[in-house]
Amino acid sequence: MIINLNINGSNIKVEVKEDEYLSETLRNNGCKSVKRGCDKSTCGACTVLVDGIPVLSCSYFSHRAEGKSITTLEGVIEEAEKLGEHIINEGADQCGFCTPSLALTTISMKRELGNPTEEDIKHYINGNLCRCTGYEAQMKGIKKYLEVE
Amino acid sequence: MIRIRNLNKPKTMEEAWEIYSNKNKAKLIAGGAFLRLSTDLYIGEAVDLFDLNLNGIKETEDAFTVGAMTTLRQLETDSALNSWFDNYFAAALKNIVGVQLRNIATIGGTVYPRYGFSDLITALLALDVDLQFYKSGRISLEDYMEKGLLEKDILVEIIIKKNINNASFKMMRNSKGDYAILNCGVSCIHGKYRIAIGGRPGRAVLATDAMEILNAAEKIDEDIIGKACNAAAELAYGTNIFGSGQYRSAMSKVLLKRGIREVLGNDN
Ligand SMILES: Cc1cc2nc3c(=O)[nH]c(=O)nc-3n(C[C@H](O)[C@H](O)[C@H](O)COP(=O)(O)OP(=O)(O)OC[C@H]3O[C@@H](n4cnc5c(N)ncnc54)[C@H](O)[C@@H]3O)c2cc1C
Ligand code: FES
Ligand code: FES
Repeated sequence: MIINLNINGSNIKVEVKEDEYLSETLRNNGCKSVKRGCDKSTCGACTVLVDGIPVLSCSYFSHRAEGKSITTLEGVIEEAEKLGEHIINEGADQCGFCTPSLALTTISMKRELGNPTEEDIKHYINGNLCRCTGYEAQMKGIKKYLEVE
Repeated sequence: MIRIRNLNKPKTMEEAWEIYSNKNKAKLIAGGAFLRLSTDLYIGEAVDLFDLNLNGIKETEDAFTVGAMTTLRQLETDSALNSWFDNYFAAALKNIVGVQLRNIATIGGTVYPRYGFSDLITALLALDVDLQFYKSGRISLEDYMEKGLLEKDILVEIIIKKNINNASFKMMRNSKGDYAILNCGVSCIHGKYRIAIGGRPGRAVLATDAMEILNAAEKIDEDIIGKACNAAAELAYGTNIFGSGQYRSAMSKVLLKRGIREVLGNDN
């Protein structure tokens, strides 16, 4: 089936299978920031925004995205670079596999909550697992980003 | 992995029912998140509920009516619902995986399969809740949890009545995002206590003996609370990788005591 998507501002028509998930569709269309971690709704590495709402693209059927705007990290590079600087300064980036989804979730949180408390932040990024950093440094980086930006 | 031979996107309930009831190997798809966990699932006819307009929370004088396709995140953040129930739903839902999953997973896809680990079912069972099915009509959640349905059906909406004074949800899990080892909802409906315990790990049930002890008491003091907790610990608790039956039984006393105290505290 053919679906219409707006990916990071560009309208495209894409052929997808009935049982295809959005992570596969996006990666096939050049969005390599969308990671396939667990592929089972657990790690958050596949996070993208659908009409501004963060979802797990590994568990979101592609046909559901018909007519919707999809944002991946490639679509928010400027904001992500600012956050990335704080993440790196705090040593919160090791293998980097979780970083694109963490950045996208943080940007979405900032848009949704404006000025979140530490508790709000912990709650919002809870679905983004990281095997390397132990989260403390990520938390510091996110807080600095929110303070500064 | 899911394989779908044919995807149907009905626009009306009649159309959805026609396909679902007549076609062999037909399967309803709500959020699709739990189906995603299937290791090998072949669906001949997928019936996507997305376009049926079953998404949203409506408030009337007596109840909140929640469409089956409403996401867990909508329940968690709906200001009218959470203001009426004093953030009870936000507390019950906030530890389920992450925001991104809760933006996909639906109330219908949770209640219909009666998942034993569910936090939401326990939270709902502790309140006065009815289910509206397409064919079987309106049934209380309590009856549905106990007996299920005789025939397959489509859950259309969940009616949460606004007759409670207070409610409290307690759970324990090893880490945020993990399944709950045990969860417990307590409410006070027109002066009568109602207690649901889930994650046993079997399906959530009402702790009827504990409820009777509380409801028969003239005054609820620590002694009565202790007796109610002991009664709740006698429910059937099983063992899985998250905890033993014995551990769950012991923990049920702790969660229930906290829940009752919170409901009492709010009453004062
Ligand atoms: C990794 C993971 C961890 C989770 N952890 C928790 C947790 O800790 N606590 C918790 O409470 N929940 C948890 N959940 C469950 C989640 O909250 C939802 O209950 C689950 O995803 C089902 O919702 P869905 O919309 O995805 O349903 P789907 O996967 O689409 O459907 C589930 C089943 O319900 C049927 N169905 C769906 N809608 C209807 C309807 N309207 N009428 C009749 N049948 C219907 C489907 O045919 C299917 O059999 C977890 C889910 C995942 C994927
Ligand atoms: S890849 Fe989607 S949650 Fe892990
Ligand atoms: S930096 Fe390696 S998974 Fe997070």
